[in-house]
Amino acid sequence: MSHPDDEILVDLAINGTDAADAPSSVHHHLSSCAVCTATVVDLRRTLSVARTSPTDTVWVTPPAGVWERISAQIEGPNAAASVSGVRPTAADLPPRSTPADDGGSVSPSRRGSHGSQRSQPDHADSGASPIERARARRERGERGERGAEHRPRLVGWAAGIAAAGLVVGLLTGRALWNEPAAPPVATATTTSATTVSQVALNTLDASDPQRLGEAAVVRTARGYELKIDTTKPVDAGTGYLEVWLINRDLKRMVSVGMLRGNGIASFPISQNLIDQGYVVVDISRQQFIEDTTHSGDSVMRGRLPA
Amino acid sequence: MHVHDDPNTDLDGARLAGELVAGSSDALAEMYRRWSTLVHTIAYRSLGDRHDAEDVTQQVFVSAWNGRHTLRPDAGSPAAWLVGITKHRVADVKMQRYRSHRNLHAVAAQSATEPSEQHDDWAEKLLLVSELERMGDPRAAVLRMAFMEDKPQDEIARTLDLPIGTVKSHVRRGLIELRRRLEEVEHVAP
Repeated sequence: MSHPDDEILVDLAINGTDAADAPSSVHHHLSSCAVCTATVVDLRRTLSVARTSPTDTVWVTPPAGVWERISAQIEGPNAAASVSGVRPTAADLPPRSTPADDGGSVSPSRRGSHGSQRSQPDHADSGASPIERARARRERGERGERGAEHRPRLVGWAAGIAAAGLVVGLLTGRALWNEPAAPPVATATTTSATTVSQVALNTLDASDPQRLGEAAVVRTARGYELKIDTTKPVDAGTGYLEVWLINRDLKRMVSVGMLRGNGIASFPISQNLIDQGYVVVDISRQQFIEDTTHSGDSVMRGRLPA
Repeated sequence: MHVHDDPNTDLDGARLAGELVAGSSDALAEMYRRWSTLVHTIAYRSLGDRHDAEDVTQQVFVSAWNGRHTLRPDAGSPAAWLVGITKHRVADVKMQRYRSHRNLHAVAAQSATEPSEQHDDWAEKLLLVSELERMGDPRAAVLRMAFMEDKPQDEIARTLDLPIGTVKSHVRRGLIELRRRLEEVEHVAP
């Protein structure tokens, strides 16, 4: 039989699969259909989350300073200017009540309360978690200083990327990846995933690049995904690893997501991104600091075949 | 219509998502207006620290801006997408706390349990609460009574003075919609 109506699956999720009122043909179907079984399992999980959701939620609004930091941080002077011109108001926010002990929206003296924490011995700074260091840095609030330290890094980064472009340009041959890229075939709709293109990820060492992993663009039923598979887990140091797609003009880039754990991950991407020339896959080592742009510390990189 | 391919009907959210992908910072400001309280509350409940929560809220919207190309406007609600990002940022902070704890107490490392996202589903719970608020009554009232208060459907029908068929239909449609939101949260890449 065809898949039963979603209403029937919902009833099964709510009442249990033993419920007598479901037709036996549905039970029969469920016993052989993994998709519908997964749907019922998902619906049950949703139900259990809903059953344990708080009935008296206290919403906590972030203080105004948070938006100011966001708008200062997002890239592009025009973007920042236009966003800071738009002040979010509380009017459209969900209804909430803020108890006295939360005080999130009351904007208590942040600097003051933090100052008391700061009076601890200063080794707190060296032993502090990155998020604390980021906070300390933010509280120093010297935007000028930040701009100054940002600049040399950008220069180093630009030089690195230019060199890498050269290397990638020289090495973009079939030898870089093991198998030829599978052509996008029409039968893909019936299979779960089709590899559209793939590339080896190498260190940026121009004279002796080491292969550290592989990237592939895969088409699935849900759309395009960028799959990363590093041969070995990559040490993120005290920070984290971020996956980027860099434009072939080597000027623009977008963050695709964070890579962690075993170095195997899939990130949803849009075909549009590839079409627009974002074809250089790059994995960088990032620190937990306020500046979320590329650190310039590229661990590996590869250029997807056009 | 089958549950596997029920389309997203939040046209307004899709419009907003489309504008963000196209690079509109006004769209980000609008998302902040609508959902920063949801994001911040999840972060605050999950981490129990106001400063960490503010940092996470900041990171979520900056990540949303930097990663806007990964948002697919036709594939769900921006709220679920933001909540997915929030989960990852919260997990990062917990991992950091775990690591610094481990470093400080290297000998007693075994006592520090590795953080796990499974133990903490504030993100999902609060997203569902906010979705209920968005749906409005009578559906929200029906779902609250059916799920959170575990009332039988005939009692809900009597209390709200609705036909039993209407109650059933709200429960079904509502659960399907909530399930779709949770699915969208899971699909957000780290």
